Amino acid sequence: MKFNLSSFFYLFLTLAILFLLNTKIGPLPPLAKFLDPFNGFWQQAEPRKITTESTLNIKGLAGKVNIYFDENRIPHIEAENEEDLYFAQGFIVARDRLWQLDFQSRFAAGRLSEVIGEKAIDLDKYNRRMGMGFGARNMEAFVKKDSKMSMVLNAYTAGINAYISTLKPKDYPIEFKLLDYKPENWKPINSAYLLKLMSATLAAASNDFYLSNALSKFGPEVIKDLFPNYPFREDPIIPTGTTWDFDPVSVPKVPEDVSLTTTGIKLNPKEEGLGSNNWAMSGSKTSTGYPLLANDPHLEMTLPAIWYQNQLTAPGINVYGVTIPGSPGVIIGFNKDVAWGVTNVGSDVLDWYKITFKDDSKSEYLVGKEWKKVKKVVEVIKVRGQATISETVLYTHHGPIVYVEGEKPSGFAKSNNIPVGYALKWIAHQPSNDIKTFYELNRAKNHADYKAALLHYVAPAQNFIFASKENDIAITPNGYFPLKWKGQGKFLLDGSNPAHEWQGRVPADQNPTVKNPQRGFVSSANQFSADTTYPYYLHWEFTGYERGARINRQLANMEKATVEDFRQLQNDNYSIHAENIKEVLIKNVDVSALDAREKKALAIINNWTYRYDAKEISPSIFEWWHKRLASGIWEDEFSDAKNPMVIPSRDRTVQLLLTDDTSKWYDNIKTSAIETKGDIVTTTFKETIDSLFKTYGEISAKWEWGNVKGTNVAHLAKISGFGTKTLYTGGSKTAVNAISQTTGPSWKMIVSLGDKVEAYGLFPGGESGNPGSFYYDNLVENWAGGKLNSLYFYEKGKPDAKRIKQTISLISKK
Amino acid sequence: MLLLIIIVSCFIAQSFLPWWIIAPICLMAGFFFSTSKKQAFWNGFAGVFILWIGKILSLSLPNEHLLANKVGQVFMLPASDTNWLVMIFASSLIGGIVGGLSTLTGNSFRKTS
Repeated sequence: MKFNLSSFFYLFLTLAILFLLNTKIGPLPPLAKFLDPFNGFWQQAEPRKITTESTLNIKGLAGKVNIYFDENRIPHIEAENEEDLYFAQGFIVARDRLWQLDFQSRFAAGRLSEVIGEKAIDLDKYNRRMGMGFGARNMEAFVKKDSKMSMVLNAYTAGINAYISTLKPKDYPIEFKLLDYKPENWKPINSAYLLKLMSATLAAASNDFYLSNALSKFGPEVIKDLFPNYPFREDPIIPTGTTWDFDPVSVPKVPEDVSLTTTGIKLNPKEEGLGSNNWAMSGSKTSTGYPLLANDPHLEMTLPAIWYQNQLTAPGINVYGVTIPGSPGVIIGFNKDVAWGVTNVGSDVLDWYKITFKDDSKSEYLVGKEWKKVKKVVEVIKVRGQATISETVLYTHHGPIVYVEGEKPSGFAKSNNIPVGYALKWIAHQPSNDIKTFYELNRAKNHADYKAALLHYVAPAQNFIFASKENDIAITPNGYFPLKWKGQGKFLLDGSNPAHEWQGRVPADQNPTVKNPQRGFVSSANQFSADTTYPYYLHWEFTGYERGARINRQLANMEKATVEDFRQLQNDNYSIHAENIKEVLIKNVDVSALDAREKKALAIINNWTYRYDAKEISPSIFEWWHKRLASGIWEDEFSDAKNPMVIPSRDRTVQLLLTDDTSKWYDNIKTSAIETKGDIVTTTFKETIDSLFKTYGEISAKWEWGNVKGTNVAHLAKISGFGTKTLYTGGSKTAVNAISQTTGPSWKMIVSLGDKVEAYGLFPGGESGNPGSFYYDNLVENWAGGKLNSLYFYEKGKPDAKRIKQTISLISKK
Repeated sequence: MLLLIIIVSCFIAQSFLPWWIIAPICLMAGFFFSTSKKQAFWNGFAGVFILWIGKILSLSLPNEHLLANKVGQVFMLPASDTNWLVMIFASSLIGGIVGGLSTLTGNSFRKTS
């Protein structure tokens, strides 16, 4: 045979194009592989209409499992035994959220670079250096000692893997196709990683370093005045006047020298917004005579949704609620007898210890008069398209030394507040069996079961709220609270001084708690757990009291309360912060210095009734103004690039504005003139109006809070097109309805207990994690509109055919 | 004839194998059944193009193009309810080019008469 030369040219061209279209280039997926209708993304285009019945043969089940899907595609799983139940939960969560499981466990384990490449290296190093693996391994080993919890975790894992084994490449969730990688088998430690991620999200904030710097600059008197150990205004979770019915253990004495400082990092203060609300009301104040309970945890909202709803039914359990994909059971929910929920406790469970090395080899460090050995742990980070990286992390008995000299990356925001040369002591490293708390709550029948369940819980500490059909209500700020001297860990600590160490824990049964208080309700919104009569020190600062105070004020005024009253309270946009300072601000504005636009704006806000409603213009003005004012008061003194500090809290700023007309802090030390309270209030008001004008033009509908705030729910990996559009909503971090731009109520639930439980709930997302599904974000609209969906909880027998749209039966494959 | 062979054999093969199987199939089809370069290219192009458009519509219509409209934004298109048109055309065009080029290559290996 004789061929033309051109034949080889065409062949080469074809092969080259095949190669190009099958290769991931930059952020783009391999084009033809991705666009191919037979195996690419088109396969994830789910029909609106779903098949009504199907049966799957699955290896690893003992009996038969029926999974009923309701109108929102929420699964109601019914198994013949517990092991099958958790297996089926793992199976169905994997079906709906496989990529989220993979991505979040990779994130926590510091394994993102394996699939994303070099841009995730700093993040991976950070999570590994913080000891996420150390904590997850400790948890895994601890859970293994508990045969029941091991069974739960193993069955759940087997269920996830049974689902993965049914997949062909065409079935992989779309994000795997976009990023061009494959799902891998689940391991029990991945569940531990996801639970540790909750600690990283909720219990890893730390101002110790910045506050130490402020202490060295201003001295103890100023710090005591500006950063007090209890706020000016507070409405603690355990009502003032509650008596403590236990004999406290002895609290460590405050040592002589308690503070250390260092320098060299930029300012990055702790962000507010990851709060939550919950409350429960006794039957004596409700319309049914039985308790009502509400909970809305606020988190950075993402799609796929943070939470996954399900009902789990097997002999000994019938529970409904939400869980985090990767965690077996239900975390927030109810059964026919009880309901419970959680909000975060901002207790101080993360401290930094200055390490004194013997010499440059950094192999020994000082504790008391002894030299202890440093343990070196090598972290191996695989990087897509690059050589593997090895990082050595030094461990002390406190925990990992996150950065020694020269290891801290510059320009990586997460590590800004980490002091160099300090070991991290963090609750997330503690061995724990937190899933046991939820296992027992899922089956709880009464207050005694609730109390017993809480004892297993370590971190992240939560305000566990509770209500039962027996008409008990209770709340317990609960978790592992280190036993500390008053103020311990407010500043950086000395690792060579044994007196600086955590002295054990507050006995779990002495955590603050209250049952059936006089006022007929319990509540929490991340404020102080208890007032100063509580014998133990938990932290010097908690989230501001405003949301909590508003909740308590409204609950106190309710009689014969209904679900609708609770729904309105969850959507309440009233800000006590605005109520506190609006008048004093307006009073101090020098009207003669204002132009026409500014006068108009002042008149608008003067009529404002403190509600952050979407259609109001005032919240846009107030929000920008009070932030600018706080910066104006403090930052001239507290902003120092070489010596980063934290500025005093909102509470302290409010105290200053309300009680002090002549404070030296009003003066801007960077100008030669002496500014007064009136000057700074007027200047910041003018600046606010000017900024709003420059961004939104003349005062018009564009200034409305719903537009200025611009809430949206982004995709977990920020893939454009997979998030929501901008949502026009009200709300504020200082209002009960805590919707900010990106954070907000990630699940809203209201449960009405009684002979028949009635429950309502939804989250800003949907059950499916597939952007090509109609159930990916179908709950967002009702969520943004402040509505609630009725939850379908069936107690026994077959579920109501009217509510069930699809049934899948899992049958054991022989 | 060539067109039909390509549509049918690519459809069967793609149901089991990765997307690039269309290249060897078109190449063989072009080698055995084509009559000219031009005829080879256009039949190969049209064969895969038609097959992919058909398959895509069978998936995307019941989905009301929900996913295609979103994926458009991944490829920098603005948010719009008509992104699916672009996505369908772009996908099928890429398939068509590979089909056409492969069939043409097959034709070029035929003995020169």
